[in-house]
Amino acid sequence: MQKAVFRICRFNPEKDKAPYYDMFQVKIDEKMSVLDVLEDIKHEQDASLTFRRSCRSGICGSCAMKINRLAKLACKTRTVTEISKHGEVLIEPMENLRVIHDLVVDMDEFWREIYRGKPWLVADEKMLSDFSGENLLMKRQMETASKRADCIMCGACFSDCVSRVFDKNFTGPASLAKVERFVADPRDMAGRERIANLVDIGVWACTHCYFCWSQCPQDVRPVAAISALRLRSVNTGDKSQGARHVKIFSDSIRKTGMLNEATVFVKTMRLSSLKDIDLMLMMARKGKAPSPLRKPVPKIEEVRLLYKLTQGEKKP
Amino acid sequence: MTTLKKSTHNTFSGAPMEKHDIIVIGAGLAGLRAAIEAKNKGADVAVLTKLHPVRSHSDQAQGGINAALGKDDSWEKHAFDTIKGSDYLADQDAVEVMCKDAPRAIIELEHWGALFSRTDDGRIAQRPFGGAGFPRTCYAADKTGHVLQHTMFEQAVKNGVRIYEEWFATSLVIVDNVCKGVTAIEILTGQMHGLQAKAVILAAGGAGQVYGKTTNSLTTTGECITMAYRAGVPIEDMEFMQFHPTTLLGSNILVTEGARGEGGYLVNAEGERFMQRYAPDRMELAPRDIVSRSIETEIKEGRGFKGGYVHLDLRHLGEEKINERLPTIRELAIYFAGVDPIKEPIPIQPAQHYTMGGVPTDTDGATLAKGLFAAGECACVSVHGANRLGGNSLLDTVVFGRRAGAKAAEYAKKTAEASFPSDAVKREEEKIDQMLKGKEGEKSTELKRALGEVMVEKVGIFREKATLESAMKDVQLLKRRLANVSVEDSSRTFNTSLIEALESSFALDLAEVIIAGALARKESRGAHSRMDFPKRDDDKWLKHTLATFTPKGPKLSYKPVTITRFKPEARGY
Amino acid sequence: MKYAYFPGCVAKSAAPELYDSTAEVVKKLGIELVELTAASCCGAGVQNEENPFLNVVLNARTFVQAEELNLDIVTICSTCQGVMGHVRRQLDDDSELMAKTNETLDKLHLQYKGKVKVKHLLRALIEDYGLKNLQSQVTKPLKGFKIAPFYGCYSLRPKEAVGFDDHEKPSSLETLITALGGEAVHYEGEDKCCGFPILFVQHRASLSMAAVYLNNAKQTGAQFMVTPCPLCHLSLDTYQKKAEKAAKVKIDLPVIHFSQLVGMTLGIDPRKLGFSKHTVSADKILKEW
Repeated sequence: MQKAVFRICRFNPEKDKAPYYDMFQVKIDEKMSVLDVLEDIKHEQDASLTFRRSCRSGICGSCAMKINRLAKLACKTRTVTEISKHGEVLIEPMENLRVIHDLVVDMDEFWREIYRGKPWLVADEKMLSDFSGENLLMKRQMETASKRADCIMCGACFSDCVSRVFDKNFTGPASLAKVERFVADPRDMAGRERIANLVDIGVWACTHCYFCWSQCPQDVRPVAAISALRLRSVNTGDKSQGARHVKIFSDSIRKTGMLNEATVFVKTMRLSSLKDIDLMLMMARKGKAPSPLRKPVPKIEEVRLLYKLTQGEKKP
Repeated sequence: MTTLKKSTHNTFSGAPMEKHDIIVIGAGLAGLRAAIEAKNKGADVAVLTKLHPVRSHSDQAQGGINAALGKDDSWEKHAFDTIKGSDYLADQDAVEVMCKDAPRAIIELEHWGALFSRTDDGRIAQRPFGGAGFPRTCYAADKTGHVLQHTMFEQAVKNGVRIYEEWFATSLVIVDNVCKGVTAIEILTGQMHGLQAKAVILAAGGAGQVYGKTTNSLTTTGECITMAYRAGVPIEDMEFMQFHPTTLLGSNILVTEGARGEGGYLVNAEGERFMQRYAPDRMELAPRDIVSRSIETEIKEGRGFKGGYVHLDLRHLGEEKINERLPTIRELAIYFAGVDPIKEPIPIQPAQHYTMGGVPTDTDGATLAKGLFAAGECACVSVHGANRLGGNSLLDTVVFGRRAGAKAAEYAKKTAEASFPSDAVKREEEKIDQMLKGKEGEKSTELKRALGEVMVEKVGIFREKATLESAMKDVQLLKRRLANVSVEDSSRTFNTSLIEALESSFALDLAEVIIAGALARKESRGAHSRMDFPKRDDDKWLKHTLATFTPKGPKLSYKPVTITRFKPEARGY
Repeated sequence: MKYAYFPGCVAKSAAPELYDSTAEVVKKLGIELVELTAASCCGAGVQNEENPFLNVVLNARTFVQAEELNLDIVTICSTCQGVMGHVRRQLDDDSELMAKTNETLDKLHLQYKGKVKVKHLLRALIEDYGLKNLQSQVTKPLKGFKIAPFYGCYSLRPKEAVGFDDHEKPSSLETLITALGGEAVHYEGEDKCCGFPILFVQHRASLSMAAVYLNNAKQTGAQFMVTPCPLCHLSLDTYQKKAEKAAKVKIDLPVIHFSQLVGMTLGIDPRKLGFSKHTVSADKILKEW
């Protein structure tokens, strides 16, 4: 048994004007999860400590919270590991969601985003009423859908999503992972509409910070789903700035082997690139602007041949 | 971070606030399936759940769901296995209904998008399971519950099912044996509500948390069953509590039977596959009550490891198979037991897992009270009798959830609006006010902990008169202490201490019924094992226990078992 | 120590001061870098959204070029390291993808053997060169400057691709800063995103990101910021004034490359390290130092 300090963010809307931090001295052993300790604190020291929990085995998703500044499941986080890394355990409610009471947050915003992606199988009516047998599905066909379906809707990715902080129209990683779950399911009939809807729900607003991949307790890898969805969108007529940027970027590599930031910038931004003309001129002055006539790298024909050979591979 | 505005708590004004045709309590597989069916049959249905639906305990099921899909299998074989597995206490007509409907139910789930694991030619894969004479357990790796629960929730969203999320039902309102609705706390605000309904479907699961060692989630506290009991509805077969043989040492987190289905061995401290001595035919895949008793015996007789466990060895399955078929339990073993099953055997011990008993229903989910229905683990149809086969619980939820939803919708259509008694909500509110005002009383968590210990020590796998009587005394003492319980957190906004206190109070009532049933049943059958009455006694005890609430404690009565095809025989594996 | 050198696109065009300062530093330290001049852009996490297999093959071609020299790859861009690390990992884990990749490369008479390692120079300095060795060559230590490390996403996440440092408690930059005599300042945002990937697509959000984290660093007392990724540098330095405007906050925090930080302490003439190419002037620091 060893001693440890838990610093927990508290807030009771009935008496507190703003959140504050409480310190708790606890005794822990090497097996205890953060949830085990929270339960001990609640039952032995402060009954008003409020948090959600249920399965205590990492599958229901109730106990997601920020532990030492990163969103995790409390039941699947070993206390001694946190202490050895950070010296103490700092517990805070998830980010990007309104706090109700202590560590309990309002998940409505999270679920609203999930619903934006139409999270159910859109199936053929005939198929639905035919009970003669199952749809045949090969293991390979199910891989992606199964991986995204591992999501337990805990909210950790949503909490730690950097883009979400700065862009409330960005539907968030869990919602997009769920979209891919259906896009990648051969039984779903709404693929086209789902892809067409992506721009509206902010698929291009993801900044690839990879926090969602890092923090997901089920290794769903939402950012990989986002890339795969963008890929489908780009190759099915997406005319948004994000899609155009991808095409222009790729084209730049085909031409010279390297990215030409100046031409890519201007081509992507079009007229609005004029807003940064002062920046571009300054960079040119300082020798930081690549020439649009830049020479391609040696053996560029290899690069171009690879482009040609892989033309049919524009899929996830 | 942004914070919610200060909540306002309104006192009850004297009229019910919500009205629906049907209210379903519980948003697990049975509850949601019932709601979807009822909605599709035109009823105004709402689901009341103390957790968000995807957090429901159904989400935790691992191993699979049974159906006689195979060419060489049949619903009759499935039914026989189920009935024999139940130690002949199951009502055979109900078992027939379930097994006949199983293939349709699986296909329906698949058509709704459930991602079942597949064979190499793309069909739904099936694995062997305990007590089954044929591999008929359909599965999604070892997270079948998660896959099905999410699929069911998606369908509920698709169908626009109304959900009262994080509302805690506190009582069933039944007047003259007619169901009028429920009272419930809106957890967010602490506001007590009355919800008037023509029909109520109970579907909030089992009561594992009555036991200190259980696979069940912390929220599986059985109040659905107890609510019915307190409202005067008799509850059935509560003494039959299933102890799952393989739960992780210490945490008692479930390790699916599927691990044995895929070929895992149970090994004692002497390196012996001891099931050879208890069930030479089926070995590790004997029904759960037999395997649990075997493990417990090995431990009691000194052939277990120090600390009270045996080994579940999966090493010979190989890395690829484990990662493909049992990835979840591999992770659980690593995380919660510090052991990688690819390299080392898993330390396991039995623990409470499933409530065979519950609110008695017919095969359409109708209970003994008019307008009250039940489905899933909280119901007792009875399809599981004295012991449930693995894979039959998930099946039970979708088959009888659907039937209950349909029947409740039919009932609601021809029933006039209920008249909700005006004092029902006020009474509940006063109870809560009392709990929140009281100072320096007993801690409910302490009572729950003490109860849990009593149940594990004295009402476990092996029972006998003296310890059962002692358990009863303990529980009655705990109940007296309950009167002085005070909730230390006085807030109204999302008060989890209050909810835990309410759950504990329900648990104590239920414990009393379990012990009473166990004491009275002087035989051993299925999961109920009496050391002083070690044999099954069909002459005297081939019957279901019914417990009716009285202020002095449960009054027991009995009802016959329905037998159709299979005469009770000796049960060996 | 000798490595195959992949500087990445930005170091050779929009952030030439990174390329130049690196050249000075490795010369001083006796590290030999053989530039892979025929290598192509790593794709930066963008190109794979048009054709992921092409992205794998293009990077595999770069790996082959290093394998032909029998050298591991060192890069000075976190994004390149992240993307290449990712591709490397994919090829390692997926034998079918590896076979298909080599089938395609075969048409160019190239074969990827699966042996090459990809490291950021920062990692190579810490792991291979050794901080003690580095410290022994420091002639002008940092004199307790308060420096804000900005790791950038691809330095830390996902750990499957990076294989270095700890994304839960990153310390590599702090270790470097301390070894060179500075004081690392911790602030909210040091492990977060500079916003560069959405600079073209969600301009306002991107600038706001940079502004908030720069400002946090400033408020915690940092005198300047250091980063191992030139894309981050573009966002945090080149676009700093635009970020100030978007977020309506005055920041004025110089941001330098990790190679410039090292170079300063090795006694290299600051003019050779390219500080004058920055948008937010580093003159204040250089004067003080």
